Amino acid sequence: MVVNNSPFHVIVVGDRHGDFVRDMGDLAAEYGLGVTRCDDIYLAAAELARHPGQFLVAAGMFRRLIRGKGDFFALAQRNGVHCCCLLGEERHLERDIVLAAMRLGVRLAGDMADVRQFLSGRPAAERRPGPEVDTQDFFGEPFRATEDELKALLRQETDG
Amino acid sequence: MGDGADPALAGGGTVPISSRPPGILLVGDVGRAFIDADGVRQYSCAVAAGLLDATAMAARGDFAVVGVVMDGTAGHLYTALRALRQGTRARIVLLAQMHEEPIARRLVEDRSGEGKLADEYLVCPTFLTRLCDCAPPGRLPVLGGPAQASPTGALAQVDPTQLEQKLRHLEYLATTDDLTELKNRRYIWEFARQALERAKVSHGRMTLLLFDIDNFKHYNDVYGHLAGDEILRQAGILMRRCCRPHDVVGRVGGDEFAVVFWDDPYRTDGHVERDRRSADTDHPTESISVAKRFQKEFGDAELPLLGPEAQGVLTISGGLASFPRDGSTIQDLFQRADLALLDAKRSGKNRIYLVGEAQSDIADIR
Repeated sequence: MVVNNSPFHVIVVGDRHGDFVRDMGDLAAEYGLGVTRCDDIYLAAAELARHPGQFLVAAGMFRRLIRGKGDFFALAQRNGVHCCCLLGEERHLERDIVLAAMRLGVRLAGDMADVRQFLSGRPAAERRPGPEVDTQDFFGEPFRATEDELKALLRQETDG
Repeated sequence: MGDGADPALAGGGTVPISSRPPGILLVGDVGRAFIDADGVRQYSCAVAAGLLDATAMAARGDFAVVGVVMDGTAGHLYTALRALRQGTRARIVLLAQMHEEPIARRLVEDRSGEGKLADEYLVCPTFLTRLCDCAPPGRLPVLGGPAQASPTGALAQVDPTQLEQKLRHLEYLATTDDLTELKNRRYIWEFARQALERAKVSHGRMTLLLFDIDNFKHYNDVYGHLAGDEILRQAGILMRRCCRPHDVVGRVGGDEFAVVFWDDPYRTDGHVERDRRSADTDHPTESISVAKRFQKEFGDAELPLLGPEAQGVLTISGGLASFPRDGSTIQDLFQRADLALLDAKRSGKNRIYLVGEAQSDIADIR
């Protein structure tokens, strides 16, 4: 665990030795965010309670976070925690499940560039290199994906 | 925490039972667990609908006891208990239905060397006072005096200990075969159903062995029913001895027995991973080993009631069906194991057939 004084903290859910957790750790470090790695949603749920007063982001592969019928997203929403999910190569998600997650404010990311954009809190075109993060910008953007974005993310399934 | 977050961690479907700070966190369907569930408001309890909420609440609150109703939590129980254990100092008590007792027993044993996932288990239905008794001394300061901590209404006239003993006895009668003291058909069916659900969630394996005693009617007719009963009793004793401690053995008909072999969650990750990879294709090797061992021991059994000419001639026929290899429902597995048993009988008895492989006697499998 990296402990720092950032008002933001990222809880990364996934295999500790996997690419996603490693990349998220690097990304969080780049932006100077505190980060905790959790193997599963239950450990992540316990972690939520350990950061009172901080802006929390829970990030993980969608398939992993949706386990337990999406209860983790609901728990996160009730506690003001923002969720960012990487869809990765997954193209067989049920649209109802994805829509339900979106309604709970889950940000769906097609790749790590989307995750980076989410963490930077500004459109990719305006993003400047560097670790600066502005609190207002961070949650000022309408992060929820639209249904059109969802269709784009799940392009292969919806077209096919 | 982000915008709009409640200062106290919000749980889903969470019922704040009392205005006092809670000493007990209950997880799941409390009505199924407690005889005096109606009296829960007299206790200082919080209730979480599911394990995920409970994990978050336990990490935030200073609970003395977390009572987890096992029903409906089977799939993710092990993962959730690990998180719960890491997040709280509270004693974790499993509230198990009778058919869940084998699982609960495993969970309160430290078999992996990484510590127990739960501290105790209670067989349900039970009383809230029993759960309170599980708290460490002095760690339930929010409980009221004896009047507040006792059941109300008609239950107030009943000694909880006596009532629970009577309940346990009734459950024993309802789920146990009195001749062999093995589990009966009702229990086996329900346990197998739950074991199958867990196997589905954890991508594990569950294997069902059905077997009966060859020529049992002949022994009954020639040596009398007392001798027949002794054969059945010996079969039960020997099979229990041959099985792994967590497998469940039952008598499901006259001379027909069933064994439910289920994945042990405490085996090392390497074993579990290997089993998961091979569950679809490979033979259930441990179940086959147990069945072979039992065949041999049963054949060698000495039963004085049968007389010297009948010693060493007892044999069994059986069928082995395995999830996911041979079926995905309990009905599938029972039906297929039964058909394999019939095939074994028709092929000359004294053999156990694997489902799905014609004439595949386990004796031929190394």
